[in-house]
Amino acid sequence: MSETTADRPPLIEARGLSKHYGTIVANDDVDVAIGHGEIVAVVGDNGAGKSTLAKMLSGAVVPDAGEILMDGRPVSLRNPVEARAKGIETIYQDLAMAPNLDVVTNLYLGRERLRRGPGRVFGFVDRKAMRAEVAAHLADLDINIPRLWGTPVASLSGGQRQSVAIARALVWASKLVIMDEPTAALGVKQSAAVLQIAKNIREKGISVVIISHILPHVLELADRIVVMRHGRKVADVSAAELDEHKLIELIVGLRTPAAAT
Amino acid sequence: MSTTPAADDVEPVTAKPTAGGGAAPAAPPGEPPPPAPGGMGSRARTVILRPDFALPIVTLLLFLYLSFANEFFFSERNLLNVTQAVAIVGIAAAFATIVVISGGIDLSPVVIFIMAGLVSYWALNRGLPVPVAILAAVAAGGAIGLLNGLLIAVGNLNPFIVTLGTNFLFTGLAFVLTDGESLVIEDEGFRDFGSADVVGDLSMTTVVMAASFAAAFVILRMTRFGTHVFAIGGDANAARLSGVRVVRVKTLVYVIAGLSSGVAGVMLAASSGSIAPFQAAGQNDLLLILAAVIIGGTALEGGRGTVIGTLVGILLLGIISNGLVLEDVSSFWQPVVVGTLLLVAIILDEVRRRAALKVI
Repeated sequence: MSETTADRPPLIEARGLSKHYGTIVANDDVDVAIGHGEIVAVVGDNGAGKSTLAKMLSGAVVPDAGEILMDGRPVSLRNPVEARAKGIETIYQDLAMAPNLDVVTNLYLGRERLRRGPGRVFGFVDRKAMRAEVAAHLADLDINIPRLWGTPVASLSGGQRQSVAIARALVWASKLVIMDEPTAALGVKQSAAVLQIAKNIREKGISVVIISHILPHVLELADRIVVMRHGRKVADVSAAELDEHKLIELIVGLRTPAAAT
Repeated sequence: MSTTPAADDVEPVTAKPTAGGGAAPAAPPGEPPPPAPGGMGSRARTVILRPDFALPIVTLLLFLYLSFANEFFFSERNLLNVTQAVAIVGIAAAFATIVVISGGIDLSPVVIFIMAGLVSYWALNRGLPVPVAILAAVAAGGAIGLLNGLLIAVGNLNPFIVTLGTNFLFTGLAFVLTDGESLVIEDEGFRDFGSADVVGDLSMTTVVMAASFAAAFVILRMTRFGTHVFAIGGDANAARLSGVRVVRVKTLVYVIAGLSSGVAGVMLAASSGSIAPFQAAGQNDLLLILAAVIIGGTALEGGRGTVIGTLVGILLLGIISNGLVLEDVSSFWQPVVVGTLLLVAIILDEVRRRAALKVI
């Protein structure tokens, strides 16, 4: 959050984000910045506003007030399509996949490859191309999912569905991947794999925002940790300065951070 | 995802293709085989129980039975009668399938038949040429569909209630406009169009029905729009987050259904030479449309279904009705048979669903 003008501006900078649901204040005047290739964790108790913050960055929720800048320029993220056009991909907690469609169709949902030539006018989809591309992408990412087409994702196991959701984000993201509780429903082994994937994303120079309440994961993974409480940002600290105990104290409000802006 | 309390629930995120010994999904190209680790017996059972297989089998058996048991059934004239009899409702049923797959329902097709007929009557009486009258009638159908679609998609209102409302509204309007009387269409050109034979002995209505099913099939299976219809029926919120323009697609679904009902209305008016508003009040055709869709294996909760299933469903209903007449059974039995079929179809669907869940 250093406001030094000489620096390259952060990838994403949110200023004064607020969101109310009726009388409930989900987010109140939240500032947050995510640097290039940085992993930022957002933690907090249930109802602290972490998911709302993530959804405002992913375009799923429109803030009541505040602005979002990318590379120093104000951008509009009023829906997921706008966010994705700017290279922001989100892995939602419920995975947000059409359970009745197969892996390939889900990976391309909302941005289907169309056939060349006259078929394009009628919006004919090019299944062959999509299948080939998905197979290549997944091989690239070292993600192995059996049955890429012909079977609905509802018939895959929970872990496989999670990897489909991750694969979808990785295939399309160019700037930022937002992970909302990516390990909440997973076993130990699967969680470790997801964390490894998050690190791999950073290797590619893509930033990661991870929402989680599993603190060991957060501490292991994140460069910086943002703590939310009652819709406000109460701390924004380098992960290196924290341990689990200090982090819990910040979350429940027993400790007031010196490092917060 | 704690939906699978079954045996081998934990699969690593980067699952290797380790499936037992048999059909390992090692070969990526080609259609993968249906997953049925329960052995041949259970696989055969789920295949037979699937509505997409059970329905054609039942239809074929009935067809064969009537062909042998009745001397009149298997004649060109009679088979043309069967298709002719279901053609009007078939046109609407093809696109009602798309509505149901999107997770909606449309109770307004038959009242659109009547309104489209009235518009064509009005246009012809004003001396407008036949093609203009037809276009105006189809457009009227599309307009009612647009009203439905906007209320449902933009207004986020329940499709059952919205289309029930427009059904009542326009049925009443049809009665008001006609004083409840049937109207006879005088225009020869329009009536010739409706009774023309297009290909050999195939009537215009039958050909239009065939074209409607072909169009609905292509739209649903081959276009981006069709994919989005399935996605919305499966999980509208997931579709929205994936970038599907849910409101637009939903609205279009009802517009297309309205247009097709407008076409059906034109064909009804042109082939019968009259417009009979009391037909809309009877709602018999509406129930046939919905029955064909459901018997055809389309799930009322959305996300699952086929246009071909609906085609077979509507043909089955036509064959039943025709067979009852030929076999000299009171036509009062027809609803009994259709009702039984509906119940069997929905039970089969549930059995299949459970079998599929067990396989996971």
